Amino acid sequence: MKLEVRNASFSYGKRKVWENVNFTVESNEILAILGPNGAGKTTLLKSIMNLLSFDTGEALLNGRDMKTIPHKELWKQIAYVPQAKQGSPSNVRDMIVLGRSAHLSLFGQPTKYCYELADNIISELGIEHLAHKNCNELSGGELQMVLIGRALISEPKLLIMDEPESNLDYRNQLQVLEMIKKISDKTTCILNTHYPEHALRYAHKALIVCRGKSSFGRVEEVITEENLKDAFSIEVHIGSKRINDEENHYIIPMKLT
Amino acid sequence: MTNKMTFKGGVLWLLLPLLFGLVALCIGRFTIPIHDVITTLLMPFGVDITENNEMVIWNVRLPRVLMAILIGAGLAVAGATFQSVFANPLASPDTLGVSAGAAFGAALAILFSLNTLIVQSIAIVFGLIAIAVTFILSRLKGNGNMLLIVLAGVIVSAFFTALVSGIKYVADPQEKLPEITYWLMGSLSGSSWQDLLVAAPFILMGIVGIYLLRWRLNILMLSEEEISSMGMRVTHIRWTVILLATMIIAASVSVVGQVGWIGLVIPHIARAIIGTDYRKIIPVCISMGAAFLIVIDTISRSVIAGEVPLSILTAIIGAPLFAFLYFRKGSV
Repeated sequence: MKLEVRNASFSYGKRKVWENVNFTVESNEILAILGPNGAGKTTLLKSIMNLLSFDTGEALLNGRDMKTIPHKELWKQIAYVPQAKQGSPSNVRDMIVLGRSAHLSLFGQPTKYCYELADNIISELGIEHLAHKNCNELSGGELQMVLIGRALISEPKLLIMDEPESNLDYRNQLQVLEMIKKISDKTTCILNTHYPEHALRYAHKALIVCRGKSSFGRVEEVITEENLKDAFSIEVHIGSKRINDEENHYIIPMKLT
Repeated sequence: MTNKMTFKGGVLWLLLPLLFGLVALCIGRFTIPIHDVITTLLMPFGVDITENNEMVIWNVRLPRVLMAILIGAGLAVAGATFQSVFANPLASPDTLGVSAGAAFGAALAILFSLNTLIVQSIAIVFGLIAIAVTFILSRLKGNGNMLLIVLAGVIVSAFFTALVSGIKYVADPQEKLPEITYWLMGSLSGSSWQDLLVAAPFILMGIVGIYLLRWRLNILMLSEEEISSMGMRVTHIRWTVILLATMIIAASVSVVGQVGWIGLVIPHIARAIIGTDYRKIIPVCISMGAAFLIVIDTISRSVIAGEVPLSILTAIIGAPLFAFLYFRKGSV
């Protein structure tokens, strides 16, 4: 599924958050959105999802203005993974099944089929051992996996994630990122991240938002020493190393500018 | 396995209030053996009975027990609903100020001797105003903090309670004042088929509506963005269930006065027994709320020669029970 954002701008009252944001992301692609704290990354995600409104510009889903898609219709096609905060007291399976909501009628109840889907997703995510736990007993990484599962059960064609690997330990970060890579085989993915290395390694395209401006392009073209210096006011060194016939990028933060 | 309530479980929960109701029909100024109660209930199907029993059961005890079922189930469901919408286990018709708002509306209407349908409508309007103010106040600072909601509820409740006192002050002390005072403390005494007919439509509409939406209540506990991302319009769904719950409360306050604690305590007991899934909490609340009020009302009409107001009993039993449940280790 193709998402295109054209000429978008947004302001809180008089404060312009960003303007003239343009990007396109297609099927099987991952788009990483980067930017310093307060640059309006989450705001951007929320406006794409119609939870907030652009001042100007539009978001097109397969060429159709997302504002014209009825709410429930839209949420059958897209799904959102919020930042994992505190879990609610409900059971993991039941929590994942909640994500099926947009496919059910208002008075409808999840069917056996919904639970089968949930069980498939649980084994796909490799979290069978959590299936019968309560969400408020989970660690941050485990809860993040459950929230990803809850988004996947609606079989979205576009998956939007807000800092999915933040607040996770080293191993959990990798686990979540690998999972996103796998998901992107079938689903267009957009994620906010604080880690340029993650963008370089997993994303195809990148968008940097900073001080109201933005730059967008293929990830190698956007995540450059120059752009990172401009956005984060630090000097970095970007290098690469061939390991097992694969080009691996690394970024070393050098000093503040 | 869909974690729904099983058929067998459903039947057992349905039997609980019916059984309690049957026993309550035996108890009263004079005891009627359960066998006679059953034959009297079967009278319309041509079973012969004594006229005395017919009078007491059909005209006095049965409407009263049915009213207890209706109000008890309704208040428990409304409380559970508020706890979901506000994602707050301390939310209830009393703590959010809805009861007080509805009581003011009803008292105002009684003062002007308006008819029962208008009394209920005005009670609903003021119940909604009360909860809207609570909701807005709690949002002014931060986003739906648990304590802020309760604090806002206390403020709204105090305000409307003061207005009710104002009405009592101006009410005619010979006729209106005793009527309002006694009604406010809550009582099912004198419940007639007529009263049932008046209270039932709004309460049943509310219970049925919430019962049908019960799975959605699990989603309503999540954050606004999450509710929205489940394909639901946050404002629509929230205010739909708030309206349904307020209809229940306003209708029951108009007919039997303020009956406290049920909306807070019963959902907590239900959660302790059945877990956190609203697909089960709502039916269990219906069953236990009904059974609880049958017990309370039976005590209220049989411990002393007169009648003990319901709110006194629900508080005496409900408050310590709630304290036990809430402060018990590992409770939500």
